[in-house]
Formats: sequence, structure tokens, C-alpha cells
Amino acid sequence: MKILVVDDEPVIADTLVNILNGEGHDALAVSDGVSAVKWAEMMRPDAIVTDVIMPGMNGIETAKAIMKLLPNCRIILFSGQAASTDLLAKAREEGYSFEVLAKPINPEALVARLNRIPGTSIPPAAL
Amino acid sequence: MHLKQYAQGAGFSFFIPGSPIVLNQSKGSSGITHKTSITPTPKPDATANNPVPSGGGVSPEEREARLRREAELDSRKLQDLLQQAPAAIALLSGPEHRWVYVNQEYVRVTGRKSAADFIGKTLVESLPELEAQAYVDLLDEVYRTGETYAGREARVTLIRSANAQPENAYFDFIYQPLHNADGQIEGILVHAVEVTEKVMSRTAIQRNEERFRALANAIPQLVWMAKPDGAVFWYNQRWYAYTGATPQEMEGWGWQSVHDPEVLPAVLERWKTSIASGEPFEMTFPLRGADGVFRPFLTRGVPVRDEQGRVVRWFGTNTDVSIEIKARDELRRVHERLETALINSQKLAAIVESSDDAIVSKDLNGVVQSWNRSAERLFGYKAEEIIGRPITMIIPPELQSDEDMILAKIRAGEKIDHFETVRVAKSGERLDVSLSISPVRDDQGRIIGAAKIARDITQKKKIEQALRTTEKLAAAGRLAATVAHEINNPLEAVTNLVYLGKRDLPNSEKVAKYLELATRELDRVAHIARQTLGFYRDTSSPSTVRVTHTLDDLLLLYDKRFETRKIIVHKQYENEIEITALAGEIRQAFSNLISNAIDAMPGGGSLIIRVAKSRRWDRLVIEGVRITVMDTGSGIASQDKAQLFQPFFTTKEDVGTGLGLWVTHGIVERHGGTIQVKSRAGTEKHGTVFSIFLQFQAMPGRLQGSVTREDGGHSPISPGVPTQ
Repeated sequence: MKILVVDDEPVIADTLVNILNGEGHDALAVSDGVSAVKWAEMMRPDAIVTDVIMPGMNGIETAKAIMKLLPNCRIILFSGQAASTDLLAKAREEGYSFEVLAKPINPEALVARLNRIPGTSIPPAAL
Repeated sequence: MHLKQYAQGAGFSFFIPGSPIVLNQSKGSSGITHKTSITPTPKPDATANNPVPSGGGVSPEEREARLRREAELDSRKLQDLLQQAPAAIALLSGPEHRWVYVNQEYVRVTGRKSAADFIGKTLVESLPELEAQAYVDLLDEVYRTGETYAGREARVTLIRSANAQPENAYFDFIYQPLHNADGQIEGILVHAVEVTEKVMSRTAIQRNEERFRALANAIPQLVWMAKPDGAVFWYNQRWYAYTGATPQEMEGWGWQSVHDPEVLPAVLERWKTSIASGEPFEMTFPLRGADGVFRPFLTRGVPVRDEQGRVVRWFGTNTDVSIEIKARDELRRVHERLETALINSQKLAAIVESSDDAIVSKDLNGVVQSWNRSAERLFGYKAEEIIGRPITMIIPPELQSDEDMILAKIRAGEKIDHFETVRVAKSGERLDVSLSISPVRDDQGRIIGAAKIARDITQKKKIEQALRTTEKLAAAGRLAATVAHEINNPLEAVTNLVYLGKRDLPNSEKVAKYLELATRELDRVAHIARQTLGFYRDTSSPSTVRVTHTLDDLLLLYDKRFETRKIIVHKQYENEIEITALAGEIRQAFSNLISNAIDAMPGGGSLIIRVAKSRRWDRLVIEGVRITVMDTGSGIASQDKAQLFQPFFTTKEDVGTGLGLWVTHGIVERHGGTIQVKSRAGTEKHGTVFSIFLQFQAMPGRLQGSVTREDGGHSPISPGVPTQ
């Protein structure tokens, strides 16, 4: 499947793309929210894996923008910071429910999750 | 001319005209015969003046003899009369005033023995003491002019007995010229009545009066006398001197003009009542002086009565009692002041006694003078246990020098406000107290001791400590969030790299690249861990802190946020300064200010950090360092400024806990420093400046000798904790 990986840290974005492509996916790395929305519109990915805390447009804003463009696109958020729980709670109040993973994520677990049926997410409390 | 005669019985001084009679005195050796005419008192038998009936057959000789006999009889009768008259009567003859007759009374009043001392002698021969007096001249005058002379109360100096001193006698007298048949003056009739007693008694009265007036003029009181009807007829000189009025103005009821018109009706009423009843008058009322000033006078008027008890005059005095009244008023005021002071002191004592704060006083040697109930409760000592003993009993051993500082300030007249320190109760328990100490002065303003109010702030300190702990926990939470990002991201990268390394194991070139990247990421994690641990290292003992290094470390930590927010940092380090302080706390204090500055500039701006040697504003002797953190942010609204350093005050609803500045303030205070803020909100030149002053030995005293050197290169760094 076509997967867009968004993280402001190039090492993380690059290694994830490398891992996902090794599993037979067609992954692409971008380093900020604005680029992510632009590329998503162009490549119409099946799934997006995005960091939450990013300079400029954060992961949640990015996810909301892409949801409007691609309602069927699967969105997985991943974050290294508890502060993102506040942002997620706010998003939930607005009616958005996101799938969230805590950094560091086990690459095998991520691959397995992408292959599973969407909808089940790690509750924020688990972060 | 008139001949006059003394009319017996009815006093003296009435004269009646009458027919001439011839008086022939032949007594004495001179043998001179005088004929004179007097008018005798009419007599029922008309002996002297009855014309003898002329009968027929009488010869002229017989007639003459009979006439002579009759005349002699008359003369003898007259002489008897004159002899017994109560007036001194004498006849002087000729211009040399030779005595031809003196009666008994005359002999008596002159103090001579008998008529023989006079008859045939001149006036001067018989009464030599008269020579130097005016009477001889007077007699000459009467003899020469024929004019009768009447003298009243004339003083005559007489020597009334041989060995006596000359004495003054007073006489009413008449010198009456005597004419002969031809109308020529032959002699002088002397008629005198002694009035010495009457004159003397009147003189005595006059002298008394003079003495009284002299006395009345000499005394400081105003003195007056009034007629029974109340009209004043005399004032002493003091009255005129005081009132400046003239006797004309004052006469009768004129005194009203120096009275106060408001009081006058009452004075008049009382005065008239006294006049009507004869009761003494007493009243104090104002009298206007010549200077226009009214002064109170105590006025007394007493009636003087005659033998029949009738009021003959009023005698009065006015005594200036302004001094007495002033003194009395002053006394009353003093009394009132004392009463008020007493009441106040009682009130004060009650307040002191019932105060929740410990209130104690001590003298300049630090000896306890008073000790209220709250002091007993707080420190555990009963008043009787500690009064008279040194206050140092409640000062912990390491703070004994406090007392010298306090007493020095008190002696200099300075107050000490809210001095937070530690005292020891009787039980040995250490108490956090806030002391306010003021000098106590005596009446003369001399400092004699100190009054001290001690408030137990142990509880407050505990609450503050709890709040600070809470803030530390909150900070820890925020730290965790920040640190998690910093740690989890490299961990994410390492995890991925390890996965790739395993996957591409045969390709050693690739694996080596992954491992290299992983090592770099692990270094990041290690660094973050060091920082984090360093922040929470318990720096319980002060160390040497390089202010600029601490700031540099913090700025490094916030570097990413500056970049993101487009904040440009300007460092203005004027000096490389080291202070002795609690490094972790100082870092926290700075961190909070920088973090606030960042939050104040969401749209970017400038952050200026300045470090310079300085002195404390309020106590210039204290040297230290001033750290200024300036931002070009939104500024603080003026209504928020007052609460800036209060706990739980925040303007940042999303991210603030409202404890940051409060914590910073507490840290600075604990280090004996000061913190100030200036801010300007609005559209132009807005921004905020926080300025911290720390003295070089911010943690002195007990910290000496245990200072540890902080490693400047790898100093622990506090995270960017969002705070207000």
C-alpha cells in the first residue's frame, strides 16, 4: 500500500520509509505538515504515519487536513511526548478519533498494525 | 463799722450789731485806761444799757457818780462774763499789741499760768514763740487797716509749758479792731476757739485715706470705690494703667465701656442685685486692657457700713486671674491628657494582651521588659519567666548575631519590617517567625528600647513549602513531557536502525551506517538524561555559580524554541561573575523568566539577557550582580502587575500553573536578593523587563567552607518549563 511518513526528524522518517519499503509497501518521507498535505493530495496514500509534535503544522492538524482530502485514508499518529495527549483529547472533543502509537514503536508491530484492520488504536492512556 | 460779740451757747460765729459800751479795765500795773465799745448780749435787767431815768433834784455830780458806779458794775459783770466764756478772749492795745486783758481760757490755751503773764506786756514778750509766725504781721495789718480778720483752723505753734516741745494747735479766731470815741483804732479784740482736736482727727482721716490710696495704687489689683448707689467715684492708678481709660470716661457707670458686651448684662444684673441687697459682690468677668485684649478678672466688692449699718460706700478690687485660669485650664488639659493617655494605655494594653501576635518589648540591652499572652503561647515562656532576662534566650545559637544587628538598627532609630527568621521556643522547637521591630521612645524622644511583634509563620512556611513542592512536581511533569520527546525520538530512530541492521545484516556497509547513526542518537539520549538528572540533583549546599554559564546553558536548551518562535537572543554580558548560591534554584529562577519571555512572544521578537556588576537599589553598600531579562513581548496588563508574584496567578490558561514567578520570587528572596519588573502593554514599545539582583554571597554564613565547585561545562540544565 501507499504510505506517507511524516516526521520532522529525518533519521526517523527515513528509517521508517526504509523499513516499510522492505515490507513491500510504497512509502514516502516528508518532514512537515504542509508538505504532507501537498504530497497526500498528489499520491493519494492508503495510510499516513505522522509525528504529532512538529514545528509549524502539527500532526493532528495535518491529519485533519488529510482526512478532508482523503476520507478513506488510514491515519496513524505516533508521538514521543505525553503533551500530545492534551492535543489528542482536544481533537476528540471536536469529534476526531485517531489511532495513536507511542515512540519508540517496534517496527514489526507497526508493520503488523498496518496489515490489520483499521479502527483499533492504542488508547491515549497507554502512552 | 460793726462791733461784734460772742453769742454764748450756740456754738460760735454769729455776730449781732449792737450799741457801743465803754469798757474800762484798770487792772494791772500799767494803769492805762481803755475805753471801748462792745455790744453786750441783751440782758433782761438791762443793766448795761438801760438809760437811767433822769429824775429831778439830782446834781450833775451825783448823776456822774451814779453813772460811774453803774458803769463799773457793768464792767465787772462783763468781765465776769468774759472770764468764764468758753472762748479765749483778749484785748491788745496800741500798735505794739500790749495786753490789756486776757480771760482764763486764753491763759489756758496758751499754756501760761495767769493773766499776769500777759497784762502790760506786748504779745511778743508774753508769747515769744509767736514772733516767727505770721500773727504779729496780721495784727499789725488789722491795726493799720481796721479790717477785721477771721481765721479758720489756723495753726499756731505754742510752747504750752516751760520745758515742753513746741506743739501745733489749731484755732478759729477773729482779730477785731477796737475804736475809741473818736473812731480811731486803739486796740484789737482777740477771740479764739481751739479746734486742734477736730483738725487733728480730720487730718488723721485724711492721712488714712492718703495711705489707703497709696496702698491701693501700689498693689497689682485694680481697686475702686463706689457710692452706695453703685456709681464708682474712684479708681486706683492701676485701673487707668490697665484700661487706658481716662477718669472722665470711667466716672459713675463709665466702667461698662471696658466690659465685654456679651458678659456685661450679667455683670450689671449681679452688681445691681448687690447694691440693692448690700450683699458682697463676687464675679469673674473679662475686662479689656489698653492693648485691646480681654483678660479675666476676679472682682470682689464689699460694702462699707456706718455705725447704723447703712452702706456708705462700696470698696472693690479686680484681680487679673488670667494666669490662674490659664494654669487651671492647663491643669485641666494635662489632666485630660493624662486620662486619655491612661485610657489609651489601658486600651493598648488590652489590645496587646489579646493580640494573636506575640508582642514583646525590650530595653537597649536586649533585656525583656514586657511579654504578652500570645508571646507566652508562641514561645512557651511565661511572662514572669522571661521578663528581666535577655531576649537572646529565644534566638537560636547560630543566629545570635541577629540581636546585635537588631539593636544597632533600633539605636539608630530604624524600624525593621517583616524580618523572617527563626526563633526557638522553650521546648526547643524551632519556629519560623516574621518580626517587626520599632524603637520605643520616651517623652523626650530618646530611644529607650524596642517593641517587637512576632508572627508565627511556621504554618505559612509549611504551606509555601508544600506549594513549592507541588510546583516542583508540576515542573517534573512538564519536564517529563519535554524530556520524553527528547528521549523517545532518538530511541525511535535507534529502534528503526537496529531493525534495519538486523534486516540487512549481510550488508556490512549498510549495517555500519545504521550503527553509526544509532550511536549518534544514543549520544543524544545520554545527553538529555544527564541534563534531566542534573536538574533534579538535590543541591542542598551552596556552590559557586557562574551566572553567565548558567544562562548560556539555559539558552542552549531553549535554542530550538527560539528558532521555532523566531526569537533573536541578544547577550550583553558585562562581567564574568561568580556568586555563592544554590545552583539548581538559581537556574530554575532564570529558566522561569526565559520561559515566560518566550511565551510572551508567540509571534517572535527579541530576548535581551544582560549581566552586570551592580549594587542593591535600597542598600547601596551591598554589591552583587544584576541579571536583566528583557523581551519585546505583549507586556503585562497593569491590573495584573500586583498579583504577578502571587501563587496560582496565571494569564496563560492552557499552559500556565501560575507558580513560576512565585517560585522565582521565593528563590531570589531566599538568596537575599531582589526582583523587580517593568512592563508595558499595548501596541508600541511593548515588552517586559525582569531584573534580579543577587549579592555575591547570596548564601553566606553557615555556607562558608562547604562550597562546592560546579562543573561549568556540563552543568545541569533545567528544561523549558512553561510558567507564568
